[in-house]
Amino acid sequence: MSAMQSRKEVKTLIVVPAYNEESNLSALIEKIKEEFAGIDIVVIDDGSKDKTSEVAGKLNIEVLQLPYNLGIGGAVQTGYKFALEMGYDVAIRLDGDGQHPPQEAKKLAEPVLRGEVDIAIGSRYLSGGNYKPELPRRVGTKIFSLIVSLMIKQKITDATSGFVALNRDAIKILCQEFPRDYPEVESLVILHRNHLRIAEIPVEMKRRGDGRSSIRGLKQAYYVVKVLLSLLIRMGEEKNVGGIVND
Amino acid sequence: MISLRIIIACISLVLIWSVAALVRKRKLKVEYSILWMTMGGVIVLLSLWPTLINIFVQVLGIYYLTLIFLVSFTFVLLMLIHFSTIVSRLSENEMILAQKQAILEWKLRKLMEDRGNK
Repeated sequence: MSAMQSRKEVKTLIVVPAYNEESNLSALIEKIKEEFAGIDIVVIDDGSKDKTSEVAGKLNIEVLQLPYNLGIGGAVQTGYKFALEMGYDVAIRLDGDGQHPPQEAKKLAEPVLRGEVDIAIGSRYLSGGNYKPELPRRVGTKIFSLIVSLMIKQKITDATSGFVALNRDAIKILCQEFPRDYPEVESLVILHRNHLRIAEIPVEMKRRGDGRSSIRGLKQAYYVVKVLLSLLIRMGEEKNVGGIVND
Repeated sequence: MISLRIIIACISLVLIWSVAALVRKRKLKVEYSILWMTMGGVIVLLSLWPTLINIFVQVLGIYYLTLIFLVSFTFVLLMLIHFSTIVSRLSENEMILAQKQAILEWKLRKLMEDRGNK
């Protein structure tokens, strides 16, 4: 908090993507306001079928309403584009499902505000915290983290984490390129390619408000295949880029 | 055999004519008609000049039905890849448009509110 107060000129925006979160949203926004007094908040209603937009509209925050469901990547990128256009220096992504506790967001914002890193990622696995996803998910995250660590030559423990704070340089990059669905793992490679400084910060995360993830069954299989394939394609690219540089 | 070849050639000519008609009516864009036209053209050529098939069959050493199958399959595959690239481009554009629309709508709402307050 001290870092934030001493830099009044720095404009920070909290980006909250929300899809069918009418029941969770009010409590989350109240919590954010409690933790970050006077901060700007934008909710991106990703074409919800319930009253997410209506609920958000009454909370005295900004609401961007997408005409139809774009997927988490498309929704988050809308928030980043908004941040860029409205001249924000730092954006914090905090998912509308209540998975990312607002009090933990400060830990992410501080190194970015101090200018030490371009993007700070909240890791569930650095803290030895209470968060224990089911075994298959934990294994999946481990494998993704391992591959990404090798690709960006930096140890990553929680490559699937969407709990991030980023500065304007990182926002600019992700406005240009950000996968539409399941963007987290690939975006690490994108940021690294653009020579941005990435740091992982230990945070606590909660299970979703209603207890069930949106990624289940066949979707889960698609998730794994899609992310692995995009990493594989990026690896090929990396070699080409390297080759050109070496020549 | 000759009559069959003529029938196939006629069908292909009808295909080419239909594609051209669709383009004329602006129901199909020129860039998307090229592959269809090429396909029709190749079939007309092969049906009117079967020696061409025989040459290929002898050079490649395969049964001529296999050749026909291979040629048609390749075309269908090319067509599908072509469509996939179009769908990819469209979905990318569609997302950018939706994002822009959401931000513009927000700005418009702000503007209306400001005017309402004055």
